[in-house]
Amino acid sequence: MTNKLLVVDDEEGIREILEITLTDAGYDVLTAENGFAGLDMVKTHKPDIVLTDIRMPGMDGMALLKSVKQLFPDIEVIMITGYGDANLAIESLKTGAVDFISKPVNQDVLDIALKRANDRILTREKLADHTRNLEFLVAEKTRKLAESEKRYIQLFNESPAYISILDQHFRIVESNNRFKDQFGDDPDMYCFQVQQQHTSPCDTCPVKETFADGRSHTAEMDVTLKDGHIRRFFIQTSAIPDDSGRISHVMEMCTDITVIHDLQDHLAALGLHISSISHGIKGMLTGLDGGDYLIRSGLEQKDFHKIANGWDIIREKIAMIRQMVLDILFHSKNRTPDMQPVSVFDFIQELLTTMDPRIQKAGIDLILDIPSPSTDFDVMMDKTMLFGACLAILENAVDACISVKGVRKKLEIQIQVVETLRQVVFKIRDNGKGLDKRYRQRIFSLFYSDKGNKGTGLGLFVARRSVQQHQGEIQVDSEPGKFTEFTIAIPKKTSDI
Amino acid sequence: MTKKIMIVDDDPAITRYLETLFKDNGFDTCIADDGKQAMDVFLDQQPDLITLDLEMPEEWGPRFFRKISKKGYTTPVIVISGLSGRTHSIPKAEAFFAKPFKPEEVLAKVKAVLGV
Repeated sequence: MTNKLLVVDDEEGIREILEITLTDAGYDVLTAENGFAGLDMVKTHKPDIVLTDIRMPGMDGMALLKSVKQLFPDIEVIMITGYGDANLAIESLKTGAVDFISKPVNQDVLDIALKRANDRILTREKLADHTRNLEFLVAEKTRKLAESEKRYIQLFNESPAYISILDQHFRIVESNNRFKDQFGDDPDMYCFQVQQQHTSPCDTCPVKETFADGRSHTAEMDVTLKDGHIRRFFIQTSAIPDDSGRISHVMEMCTDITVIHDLQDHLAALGLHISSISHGIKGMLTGLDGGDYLIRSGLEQKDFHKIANGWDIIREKIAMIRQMVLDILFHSKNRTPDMQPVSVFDFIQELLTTMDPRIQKAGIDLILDIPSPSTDFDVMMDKTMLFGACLAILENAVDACISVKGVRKKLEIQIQVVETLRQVVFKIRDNGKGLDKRYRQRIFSLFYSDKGNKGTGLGLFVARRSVQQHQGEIQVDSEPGKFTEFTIAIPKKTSDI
Repeated sequence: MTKKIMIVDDDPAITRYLETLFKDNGFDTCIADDGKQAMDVFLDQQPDLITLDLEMPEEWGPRFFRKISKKGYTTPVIVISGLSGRTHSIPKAEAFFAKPFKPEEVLAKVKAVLGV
């Protein structure tokens, strides 16, 4: 309810009557006798409604109306007009008065004018209220929207998967932090470029399939990270349509399943290994049966040659069983190395004696850069372990050379032993078929072999383990079609093992 | 006339074993270390029966068997192998024995096949 009202009239009588009437009606009534005094009151008290005579000496009603509307547009002004003021009255409405009443003031007409003024005030308040609410609502929604956008960007970025959005040309248009960390975030990258190091799209590609049929597809792929590591990824895709429903982009989400994949490999290889062990055991048992039969037959016939023959078989099979058990034990648990001083010269000579027949037969030139008897020195090592490691590498070098026999004019294996301040470094380099990056990464894995049925996948795995147990390092460098070089570095002082 | 058995196996312990077993029981024997060498021995010795291993380094047993079959030979074959469940590899074989085998069973089968 509006309660502050200013009456401006130069006639005291009218001021008094109106003051009494309006006070009775519940208004807090102020009065002023002319426009100037009225304007002062307006400035001081800010009434809700001004009721002013139109004709007054000095500042008249029209001037007051203009000033009030200019200073306080929300104050409602009702004009009191005399006879013949019709034009002025209309002019006042144009200037912003809410209504006008004529003298002598009729109570009903006054009530109507006041009601109109009050309605207008009420409507304005409501409107202001709505506007305020609306502003608040908009601010709140905007804040929530920004918050949710931030949250979604955060979810996208911090997702524990590699997420990228690809266009029809396999260009990466967006990617999350994890993806950027591992593959970089250069603009205009193509997925086949950064993940596969290809120059054109892959033959089988789940993204391509999703673009074709709009459905989600999966695949498993080896991908190369920025740092050169190769990881196994499980890839899932989903279509992202534009407003018209056309698939404009595809989302690719990758999970690193290298560990699972390795485990699967190991389990499969373990199965194979167990079956190959049981096959070997069957053969050995049959051999033992044979030895037993020969001895019994020899005893019956008093044929010592037969007995000796049978005994040879038994001894041979016992040796095989022992070796097999040692092999199995060797990679089923860590054996403590038996460290003894070993002459490097003797070590290499023994290695060459073992391998020489194969090297000669394959027509491979051997280039040696090793200590002579006069420059020889001792290294602390478990000779059996390290011998096995070097033998496995040398066998591989020979195989690599044999595989390019006929293609390469001259087959070479270089063996070099270098003594540094703290280490002894053995280098075995061949100019055989070489290894591509992928093989190089996995070459020391258990049961991994690039020699098909000929390889057991044990040699280099055991070799690495042997070297590691000497607190040494084993590394491979290679260029496909050119060379492979294995480097074994073991510490000279291994007393702390 | 003494029947001749050809023993094909890459493990010398097994060939010596079977050789003694068959000779002790009155058979002649000849030996081949793998499928590749087996053809020469087979043509040279014309055995009455073959005991054949499946897995050998140079050429595996079934391939040798196919080769002699192609040449029209119907010499009976008894497979003695460490690979079990591979009976389909030589469907026409007289018998399959998995290593380690029982000598008396092999002998009984050999005698039955040769009608001794």
